[in-house]
Amino acid sequence: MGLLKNYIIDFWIWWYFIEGKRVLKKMVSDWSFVLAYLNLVPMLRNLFVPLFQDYSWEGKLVAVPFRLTWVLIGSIAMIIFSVIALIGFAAYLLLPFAPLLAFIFPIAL
Amino acid sequence: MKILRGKEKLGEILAIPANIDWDDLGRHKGVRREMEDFDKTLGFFLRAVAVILLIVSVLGAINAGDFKIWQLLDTRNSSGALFWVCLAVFIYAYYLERPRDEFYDTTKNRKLTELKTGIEQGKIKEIDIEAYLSSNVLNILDDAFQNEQEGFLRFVLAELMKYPKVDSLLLRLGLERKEFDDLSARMALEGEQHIDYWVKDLIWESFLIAYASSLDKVDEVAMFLFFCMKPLKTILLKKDISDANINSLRLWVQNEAVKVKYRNIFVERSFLKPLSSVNRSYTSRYCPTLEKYSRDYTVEVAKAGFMYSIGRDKEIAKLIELAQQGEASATLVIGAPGVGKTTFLKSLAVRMVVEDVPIPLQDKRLVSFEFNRAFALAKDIGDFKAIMESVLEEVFNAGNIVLLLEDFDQMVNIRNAYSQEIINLLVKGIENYKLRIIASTNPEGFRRHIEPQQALLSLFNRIEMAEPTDEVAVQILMDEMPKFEEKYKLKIEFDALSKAVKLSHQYQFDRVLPDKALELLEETCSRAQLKGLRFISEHQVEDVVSEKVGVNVGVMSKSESEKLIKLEEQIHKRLIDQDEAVKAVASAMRRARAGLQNSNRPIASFLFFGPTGVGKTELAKALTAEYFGDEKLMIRLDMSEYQEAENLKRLIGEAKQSEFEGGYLTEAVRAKPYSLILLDEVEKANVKVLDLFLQVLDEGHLTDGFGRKVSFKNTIIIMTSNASSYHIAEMINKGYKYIDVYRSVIPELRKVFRVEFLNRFDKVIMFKPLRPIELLQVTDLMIKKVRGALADKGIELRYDQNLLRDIVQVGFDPIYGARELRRVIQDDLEDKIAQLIISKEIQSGSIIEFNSLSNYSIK
Repeated sequence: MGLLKNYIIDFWIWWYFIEGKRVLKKMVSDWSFVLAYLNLVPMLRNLFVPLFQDYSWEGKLVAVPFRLTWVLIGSIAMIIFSVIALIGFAAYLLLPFAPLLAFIFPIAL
Repeated sequence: MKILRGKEKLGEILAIPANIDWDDLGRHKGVRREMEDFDKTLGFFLRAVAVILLIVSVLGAINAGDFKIWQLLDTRNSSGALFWVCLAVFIYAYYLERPRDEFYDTTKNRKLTELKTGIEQGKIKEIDIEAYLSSNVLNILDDAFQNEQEGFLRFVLAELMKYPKVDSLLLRLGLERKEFDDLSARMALEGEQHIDYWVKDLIWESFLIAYASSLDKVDEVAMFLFFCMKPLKTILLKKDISDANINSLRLWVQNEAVKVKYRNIFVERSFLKPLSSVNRSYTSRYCPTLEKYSRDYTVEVAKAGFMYSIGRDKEIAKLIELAQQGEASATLVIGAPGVGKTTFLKSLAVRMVVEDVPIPLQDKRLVSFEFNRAFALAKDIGDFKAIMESVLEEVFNAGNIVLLLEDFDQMVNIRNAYSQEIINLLVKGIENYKLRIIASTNPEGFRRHIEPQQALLSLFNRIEMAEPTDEVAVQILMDEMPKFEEKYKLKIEFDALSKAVKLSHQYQFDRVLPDKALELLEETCSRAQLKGLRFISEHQVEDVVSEKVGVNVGVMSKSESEKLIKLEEQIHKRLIDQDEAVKAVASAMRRARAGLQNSNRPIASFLFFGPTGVGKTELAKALTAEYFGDEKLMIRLDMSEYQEAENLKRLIGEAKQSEFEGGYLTEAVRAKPYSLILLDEVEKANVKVLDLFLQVLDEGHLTDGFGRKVSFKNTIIIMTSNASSYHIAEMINKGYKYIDVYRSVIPELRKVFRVEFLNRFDKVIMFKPLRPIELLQVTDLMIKKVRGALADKGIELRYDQNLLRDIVQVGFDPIYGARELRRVIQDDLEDKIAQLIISKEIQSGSIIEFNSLSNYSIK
């Protein structure tokens, strides 16, 4: 019983609850790093603030589209990263079953 | 034999019970370590086999021709099947080789840091201690249980010592491994007791140490600290390793744990901080004038790397709170030079770099305006004002700057004539431009230049940075220690740090911690490097301080202790009789040097009273020479010059309009902190002057007219008085014993001095008049001095008892005691010899022989 627990049951617990938690934490930390790297929050927070304190009407006119474009591109990048990360995490969750699935449903390329 | 069984409560944290299951802890008996070793070997083997198989299968496929990489995914061919099997083996091998502290098994995967949060949130109802033990500790305990019941502690300690982390802690305590092994072999008798005597303490207290030190697990370091704090305590004390040293070690472990966690965040986040004037939201504007005369602390910190301000958590929280309070928020940081203001401000910059600050301070820079440089480069005051106006305007326009004005008092007082204009400019700037400003100054500058400017002062919130306590200063030194070790290529023991903090108080009174201790430590390192030493212990620090103050501040050497034992003998070489006084003084000195005196009071304090010319001053001189090594270390003040209350200012100094006139006493003690202070004729001093000494005798310090604290902790204070002289002489001449005379004159003394004043002295010592035989001995001593001086010129002086009797007869005065003898020797003997030398009647090689004052012959 001890061996069964140590070598079989604990493996699944470790993979999904311990290592899985670590992988998830790393993913969230990377996600927040990318978010910070893309400057999305400061740009959103200052959406209507002119660039470089230029309060002339030209300055005000340029700022909003500039920031909106930034946020838009950044959000797309964020979404792509999030999708990749989610796929990665799903792959992690599936990984222990992958060999078994590969035998049941062979990948024909 | 009592066996530990079942579940037991070992203690509680915030009323939450902490339990241990002895059955579970004891049942593995070494199997777990074997299993871990087995798993890791198996994991490595499986990985190796999988790699070989994968290479073989790929090579096989390539050899068969027409190999495509994606075929590896198809299980219908052999290489594909092998790939997926290898992947499964890889995953399992990864599990087998996992770090056991992350996951030992399902019951032992908790972290103490999570426990702390859980307790705070009220989620924890019961603590299972075993779940928090590290894998190394579990293995050690398993082996100890397997190793049967005897010598449990010894076994655990021996196992702990196999870990490099523990070995490095030994070095910090200044112990070599072999030395420590010898010491631990003598572990207290309790170590030989039955297992359950210590095992509960071992587990529970190691748990508490790890919990308090912010460690993730109860690891080998926490257990080693437990050994040092409990079973090895008495043995370590014999090696001068005190509780304070062990506590320092624990605090170091704790600081390192906290620091490492914050450093990891810093490494990740500092990369995101812009290194130019453009901020992340592109709202800022370039500041050409400010860039010319400033230092960007956020950029400096982001480039230079992580730094951590120890023991300033409260102040930094307050600074952040004040700095974020809307715009027009000005904060003034007041701290003495050397207290760590720059490090403190830079630690704010660290927080700003990782954006660990409230939203109003995020995406901002901390920029220090170097007004001194601006002033030096300005053509004239008008130009400087223009620069300042531009700087304030630019900071306002940039919108992402927290402006730092260091040495603010100097800025306010940069030129007397223009000081008001500068102040107006600043006030206007803060009010109109609504800037975020942090200024820093020292208490003296604040008092002199900022406090009087009410308009300016009202704009600032104040944060006062007190001097850190000794304990915090030791932690700061620990933090700086690796830099010194790296720079000077040596290792510093912990006792050297606490000694540097302790001794820095003893000679650098004007400066504050941690700066003065850091400087002392660096000087010690530098000297040790020159001497080729590899380790710095407290002895090296003591040597440096001893050299500076001219007194041995370290542990008593053999020669010094011999000197103290023979102190009476040494003093009697130059002082005749007064046995009772000499004995009382010598005993007090021995008590002081043995460390039995109150550490905040002077080393010793005495009131000498009795007739004049009986050796009071001579005893003070002899004591100075014996204790401090040089008679010049005696500070002598005639208290008859302080008969008026206003004379007090002359003693402690007074601050005048623009300058400070130092006090005779306070300046002398500041210059010679290790000295003997002799205050003559103290009964003549004004009562207010005596009150001043009540504080000195009681608390060991004085505040001078400039507000500076002057320490008297390393002085011996002797006051002399001629009170009751007549009464003493009369009773002694009538044949009364010393003790009876003493008892009878004390009430008289109480009429002259207040009881609370007399009570402050370590000893009130009576001097008795000299008898004729003693006067002869005194005269002999005095003439020996003349003989010594003549011997230096190559002239020999011979004399006999007749000369001594002659001098005593002429010179003895019941009122002036032996003082008149000196006058007679000077007038009737020395003058005569001087004339003979000038007239060349005697010269080098001559012998002059005196049979009486009037009768002499030359050979």
